[in-house]
Amino acid sequence: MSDMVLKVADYKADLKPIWCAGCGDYGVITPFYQALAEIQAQPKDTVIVSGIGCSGRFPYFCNTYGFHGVHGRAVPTAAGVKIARPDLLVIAVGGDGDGLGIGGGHLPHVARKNVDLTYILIDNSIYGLTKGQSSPTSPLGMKSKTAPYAYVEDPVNPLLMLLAYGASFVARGYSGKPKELKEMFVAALKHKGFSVLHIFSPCVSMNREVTAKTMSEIVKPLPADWDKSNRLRGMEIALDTATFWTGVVYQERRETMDERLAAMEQRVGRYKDLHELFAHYK
Amino acid sequence: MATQDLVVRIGGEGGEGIISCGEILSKAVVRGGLNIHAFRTFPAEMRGGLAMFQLRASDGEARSLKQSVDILCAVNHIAYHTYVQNIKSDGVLLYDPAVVNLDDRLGSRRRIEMPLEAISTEVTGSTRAKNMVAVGVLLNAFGTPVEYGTELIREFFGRKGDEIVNKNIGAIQAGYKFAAANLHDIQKPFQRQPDRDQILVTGNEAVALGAIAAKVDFVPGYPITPATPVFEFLCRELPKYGGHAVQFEDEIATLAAGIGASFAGKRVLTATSGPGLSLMSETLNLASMTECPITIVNVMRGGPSTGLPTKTEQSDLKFAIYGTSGESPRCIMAALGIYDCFWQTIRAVRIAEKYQLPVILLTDQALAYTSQNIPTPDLTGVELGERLVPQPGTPREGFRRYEVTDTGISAMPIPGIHDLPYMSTGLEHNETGAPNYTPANHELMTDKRFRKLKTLGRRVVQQAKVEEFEPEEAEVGVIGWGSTYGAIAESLDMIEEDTGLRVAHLHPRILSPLNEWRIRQFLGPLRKLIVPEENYTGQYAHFLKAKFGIKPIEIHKAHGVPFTAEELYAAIKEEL
Ligand SMILES: Cc1ncc(C[n+]2csc(CCOP(=O)(O)OP(=O)(O)O)c2C)c(N)n1
Ligand code: SF4
Ligand SMILES: [Mg+2]
Repeated sequence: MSDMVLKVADYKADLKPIWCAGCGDYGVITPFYQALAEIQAQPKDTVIVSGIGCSGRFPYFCNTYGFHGVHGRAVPTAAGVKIARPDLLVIAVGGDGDGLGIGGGHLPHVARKNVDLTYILIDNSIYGLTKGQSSPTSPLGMKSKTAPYAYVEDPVNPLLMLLAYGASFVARGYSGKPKELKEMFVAALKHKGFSVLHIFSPCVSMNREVTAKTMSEIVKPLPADWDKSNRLRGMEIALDTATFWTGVVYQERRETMDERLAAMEQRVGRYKDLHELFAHYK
Repeated sequence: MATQDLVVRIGGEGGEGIISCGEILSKAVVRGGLNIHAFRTFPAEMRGGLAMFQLRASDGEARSLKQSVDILCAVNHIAYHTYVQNIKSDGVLLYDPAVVNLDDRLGSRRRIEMPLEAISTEVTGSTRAKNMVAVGVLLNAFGTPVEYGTELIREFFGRKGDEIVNKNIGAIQAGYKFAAANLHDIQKPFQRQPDRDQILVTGNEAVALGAIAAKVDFVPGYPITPATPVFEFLCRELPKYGGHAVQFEDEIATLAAGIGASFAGKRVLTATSGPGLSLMSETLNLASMTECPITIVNVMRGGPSTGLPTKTEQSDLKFAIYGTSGESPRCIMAALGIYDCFWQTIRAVRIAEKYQLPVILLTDQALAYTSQNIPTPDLTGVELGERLVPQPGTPREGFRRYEVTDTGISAMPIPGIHDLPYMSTGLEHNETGAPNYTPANHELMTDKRFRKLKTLGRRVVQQAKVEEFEPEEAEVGVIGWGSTYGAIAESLDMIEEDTGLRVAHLHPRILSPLNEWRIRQFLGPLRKLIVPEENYTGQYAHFLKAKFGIKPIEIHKAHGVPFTAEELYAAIKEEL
């Protein structure tokens, strides 16, 4: 396979996506296929790990190795794949509930480890699969099945968190802007280190308050001359909640977990057999 | 000639060097040609509280902890106070008169004033080397030449410079001399074998060495007492064998990462204890469902909840077997001694790899922190177990990762190696890996996954020799599991010596799947079955009762400390 040029269609699995008609997630997977084709990812060497949710179905629709794990654990599972096998291209995918609620505790750690994987955080400000409960990004006052009168909690700010956690590549996108998304995917997949794309993707069936319409009013691309090396500026635009700025917000080249492990192991040296170790216990 | 035994207990304040005294002494005594069983307890606090080191040396097998001691070496008053009644009637108390106030509980037992602090100050200028003085005293008691101790000081402290080395050597020699003058009559006529090829390890070290021998190459972990030393060992040594040991943020991430690495083709092992195993239960199911091999060593401690982190208990068996949602096949094993920790770790990894399922190997705090000398393992001819992978050239078209086969085992492609991308999912799926919730499919695939356990069960029966210990017919039998092996075996020897009656003993290492055939065969001639366990509710007995409809006599001990042979001797004898 490896000497053939792969086309976009080669990345699509036989199984067609089963999301609701109009679901934002279609707008995420299409540019994702295009990006895989652009970087000529080898299906044999690519692993997509997902959590549980509508968004967690992502790998079923991709013609690569796929692992659909348990709710909230896509990121540490993917980290295990990558740390064990730095030769593989590893991608994690999941929803806002999966990655910011139940699995939110894993993010700072994968970010500081700088595991060389790409995490696609598909945010619809709702629990889609379980049919409409509040999520960590549901806005204050939003009604849902678990906030029938109004949500009384403030949402998290994923972009601000990811910048603070030290993710070495942070981008924000919108499923309604697939061209821009494709470029972001390419950049993220090529990035050495932990890259995250926080992508807003409307849930047409369960979220009546944060919709394509409300989003299109606030989505705005970052200026062309945006300085990606300035984390503090990135935090400022993260704090600007009136506008949903999109683009690669921050990127730095920092040694990755596997690079550091390899260097450490080089320093430590090798034993030739078990007897060298047994000798310490004699 | 009958075998000789000498049991010494050293007690003092945590942080006073009791444990390092015990460690140096242990190594010297083994090099001097005796077999040892060394157990330690330490307070959960960093400093203060009672630390205890018990060293049993023998020219026979030193199989278990002893309840009563020949020598109590009380470095402080609490040690005296706590352990005075464990001194045998013909035993000796060694005590520092400066810190210990004797009372009438000592009775007529022999006592010897042992001014550790004064001797230390005299030879080194400070009281700090008093634990080394104690090493010298006790080396003499074991009849081990002092050179074995001083040589170890050079090995341990050589890098710290001559001054430190000389002070410690001085302290050991002074202690040795003191003992030669004051307690020379304690020595036993041991038959020594000083030139054996042996290593001295704890259960935790044996597990970690086993993991390396099993060619484990990915070890995710999260620290938890008493399993932490396994992980620390592997963090230190695994890189030297080309593997990775990586700390994660909790046990959920640990097992998730382990499954990811296993999916990617690595041989994965992690070590935890009860609370950590609880956190792993959802991901454990995932390993069963996705058929990813993984080995979890669960070093049991006293529970529930945070419980007794530094104490022992056999109380996670039911959780290990049943503790998840749904029905997920897994293999549960228990190691029965230090040497066995090494071999059962290799076996656990082999089973995980061959059957593509999670294996939980149970050990416990008592094994974890007991050290024994064991033969240096010889791995020639040992089968490490390979995962079944697709034949080269297997076409993508029609490939079924979860093919239903006679054994239940199906070929697992490895990303980057096999050009057979597939979906692995925690959802119920069909043979290709596609989600499928139809009744017929769920039944078929549940059966496929459980069929692996049946295959394993059958093969274990075929290898029954490995599992059996006292096959002769007897009227009374004991079934135990895990670390109680040594104490049970020894108690049964004591009974035979005493009454001439032989009690049968079965001690399976694979607890689930249950070796039904073997247990039935064992139960056949028995009039009475006794099941001793270090827990409150009789967890293995429960399992046996349900399966075989029998009513065993259950002996439960939930004290946080292991059974001793004397205790079991008394309890079992009562049932004869
Ligand atoms: C341990 C556990 N708790 C709860 C659930 C139920 N559950 C499945 S998906 C989900 C939320 C999904 O929301 P999100 O992650 O935002 O994904 P979306 O469906 O919106 O893409 C929940 C609560 C589960 N599968 N596992
Ligand atoms: S419920 Fe919402 S998120 Fe799920 S598929 Fe439908 S539209 Fe998409
Ligand atoms: Mg969601």
